[in-house]
Amino acid sequence: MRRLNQNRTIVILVAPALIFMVLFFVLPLAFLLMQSFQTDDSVLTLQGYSDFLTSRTSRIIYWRTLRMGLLITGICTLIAYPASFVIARMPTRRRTFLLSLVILPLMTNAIARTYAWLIILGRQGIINESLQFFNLIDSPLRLIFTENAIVLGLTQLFLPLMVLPLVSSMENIPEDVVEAARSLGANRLMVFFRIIVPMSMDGLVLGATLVFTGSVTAYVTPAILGGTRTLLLSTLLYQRAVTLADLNRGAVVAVVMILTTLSVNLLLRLLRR
Amino acid sequence: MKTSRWLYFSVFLLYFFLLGPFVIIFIAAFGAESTLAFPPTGFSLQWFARIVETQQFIDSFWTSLWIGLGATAISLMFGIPVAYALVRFNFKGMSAVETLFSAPILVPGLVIGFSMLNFFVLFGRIEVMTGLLLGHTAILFPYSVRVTSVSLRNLDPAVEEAAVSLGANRLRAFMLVVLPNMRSGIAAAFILGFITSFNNVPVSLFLTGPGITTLPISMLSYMEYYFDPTIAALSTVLVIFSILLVQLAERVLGLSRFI
Amino acid sequence: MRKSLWVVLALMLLLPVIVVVAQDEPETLVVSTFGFNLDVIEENVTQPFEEAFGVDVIYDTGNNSDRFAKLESLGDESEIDVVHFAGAFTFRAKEAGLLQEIDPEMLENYDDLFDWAQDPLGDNAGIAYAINSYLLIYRSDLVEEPITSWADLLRDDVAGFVTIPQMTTTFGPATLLMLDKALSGSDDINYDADMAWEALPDLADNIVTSYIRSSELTTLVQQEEVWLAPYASFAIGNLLGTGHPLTAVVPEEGVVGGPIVVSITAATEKVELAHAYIDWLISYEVQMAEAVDLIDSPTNMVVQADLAAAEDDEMADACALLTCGADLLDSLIFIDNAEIEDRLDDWIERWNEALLQ
Repeated sequence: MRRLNQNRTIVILVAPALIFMVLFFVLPLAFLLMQSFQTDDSVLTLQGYSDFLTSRTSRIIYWRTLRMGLLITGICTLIAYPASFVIARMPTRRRTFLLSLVILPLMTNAIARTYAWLIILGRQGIINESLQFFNLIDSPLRLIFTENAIVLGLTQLFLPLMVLPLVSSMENIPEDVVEAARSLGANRLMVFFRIIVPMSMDGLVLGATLVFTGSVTAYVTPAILGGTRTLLLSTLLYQRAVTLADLNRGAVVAVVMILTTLSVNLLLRLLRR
Repeated sequence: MKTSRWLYFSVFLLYFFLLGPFVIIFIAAFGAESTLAFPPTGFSLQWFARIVETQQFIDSFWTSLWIGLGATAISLMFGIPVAYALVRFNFKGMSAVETLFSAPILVPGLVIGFSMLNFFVLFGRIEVMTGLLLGHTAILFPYSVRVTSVSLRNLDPAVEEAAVSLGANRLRAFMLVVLPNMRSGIAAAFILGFITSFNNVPVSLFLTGPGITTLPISMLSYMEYYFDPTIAALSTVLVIFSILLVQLAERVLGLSRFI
Repeated sequence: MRKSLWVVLALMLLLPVIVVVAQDEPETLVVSTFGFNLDVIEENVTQPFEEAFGVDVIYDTGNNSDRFAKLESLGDESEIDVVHFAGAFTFRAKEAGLLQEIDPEMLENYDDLFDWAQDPLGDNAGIAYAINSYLLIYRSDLVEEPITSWADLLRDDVAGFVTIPQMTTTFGPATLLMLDKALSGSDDINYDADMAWEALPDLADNIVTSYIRSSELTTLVQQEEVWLAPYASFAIGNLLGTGHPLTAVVPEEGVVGGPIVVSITAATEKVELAHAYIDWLISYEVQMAEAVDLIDSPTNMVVQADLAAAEDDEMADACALLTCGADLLDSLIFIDNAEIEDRLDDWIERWNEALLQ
């Protein structure tokens, strides 16, 4: 009786949301998957995928997207790891304040954040103006519409996603463990690699997952800072789906994008175990 | 352990990188010229005035506001019961449900928007506002389910049991005892959800339509047409708005725990 | 603290519910258009039209291909009544059965139009309400040797400072065809454009990024990322507005003419209102106002005649900058949309690959 009752309660609690998600999330994605196996004249075909795999354009774009995702994740780790270590050991009030500053960029839209880079990297931007002021260059350099511009923009965009999980995992490392290790004669490097790194691994993997997924799928920053010659998967998807109105081949890119992020997520989740 | 100097340098580097661009936007917003040359040579508030004069920004601001509030409210109404079920009960398919509701974070926003556009077309004409509202609601479930379940987990089930044993029925116990104790989680989910919706680009990119657009999308199209500091001014306003919201949330709730 | 938080939460939850939806509104006309210079168009075209007919005009803006895609995918379900496209896209929309025939009898100003503007795509699929020319513009302070030919896009001294429209846009194919004409020295257009394809890698080396919308070109010039670019003449006002010294060139191989066409969608039932709107667009007052503000070059013969005859006033200034005057109008090269249509998919693919860094 009690058991039956409980099942009914669970159904009542979960069903409405479940129906919503199936209708407006799962079904559209299933439909998209179906579309990716279609072409104008064929109902079920792998044509779209084989085109994607054999086209030089999409191969370049795919590898560029992956490469930049890794690069951005790497840079974020290099900056965030030591900084998070310091922040995690600060007194609560200071730490709270600093963390709220980390959250701030997350709360602002990507356009505002990317826009700043136009001012920094433009022909009359800060970097070019200062380089010219010190006579280091004769004429302004082209800094936007390059891969580097995208890397900078996305690193700034996703740094918070690396810092937050790192800080929260490092906070949990008890000070006495470190003290104990030190008193047993471990030097700093040993403490770092034997205690800090393993104990913050969870945060690092989570952060890396978030940053990598974010970089591979971000649209606004590559669209503004990359131009049309430095396409990434996201900008390619938009071009195919909207500019070329080629829904089937757009669907192929979309599916490739999901597969990429999902497999990276799974891989990193295994690592976390 | 003594923190060495280069560790502190990394903190400096982090904040320089995170906040530097904002400082630059602030400065550019007050520039006098109509280009983005840096540093600006004069001081002017004209770009702030331009925001208010641009009807497109005003309209899309209201659209974004309503969509944000509406989508967050709907996803919370649907999501809180799910969070409760996940925390209080053990059932078959539990992990599947959990995965499904966090899936919108894993699936790229651009793909979600694109798939919805294609899908909605199947049913013929769907109002732009409805489409946006549905799309935004779907992407907010991870917040409304996960964030609220964090605060539920912290609540001792015994409290609820006590209420029940004192004669309240389950629903009453939930309303009177559980819900009030979840308030910080709900508020955090609300703020996170609202901000996510308010700032969303990829889903809106596909779902906006005739005469109706969201604020970020209208910022994107404005940037294509004009290269003046209006976007810097608007960004400044939005950043200040976020600072206030974040400070408030952090003080009251400790928002960073939920992300 | 506790109470107030609840009140705020409750309010937030309730607010969306309070939104009032139902309201009696005047008849609306949904116009799909370019979104370029909308504020001026609002003043010159939209507001007077709304007042004269007691209707609301709602704009759905975007570039040709975005809006074409939308119209095609939504078909009968789109809410769009009237659509503005550049010629090539009207051709495509017509082929896809998205447009209905315009009845010239319902347009009072029809006879004032040039012949080529009355029915540029056949079957009365659309009316050319403006004419664009596609030519070159460059920074005269930064490029020392004057630009005179489409082949100058390949010059070394502009390397890294050139932008061209994407192949998917109205004038994308025209860039290739005119480059080919310049390289081959031929008088006619060769729609296979072999020589241009051969030179494409060199062109790609010179290009910083490609653009879709003219507004993007303006921003690129403003940002000083671009010194030399082909442009559609309707953008001249905005380009000069960047404040940089710019020189417009009529290249020796010629200028491509691009009619800007307004059509009525197959789906709409507001046929009369749509005709009234089109008639409004080609009327003397509107065409003149748009010309003087450098928004569009008129296809109304009377307006063109008045502009050409004007001296030393804003009309004369406008004529100097627009596609205006008998000589220029007579020398326009019109590209055959049907020839392009067959090749376009293949071209887009090859073009994208060549441009990818």
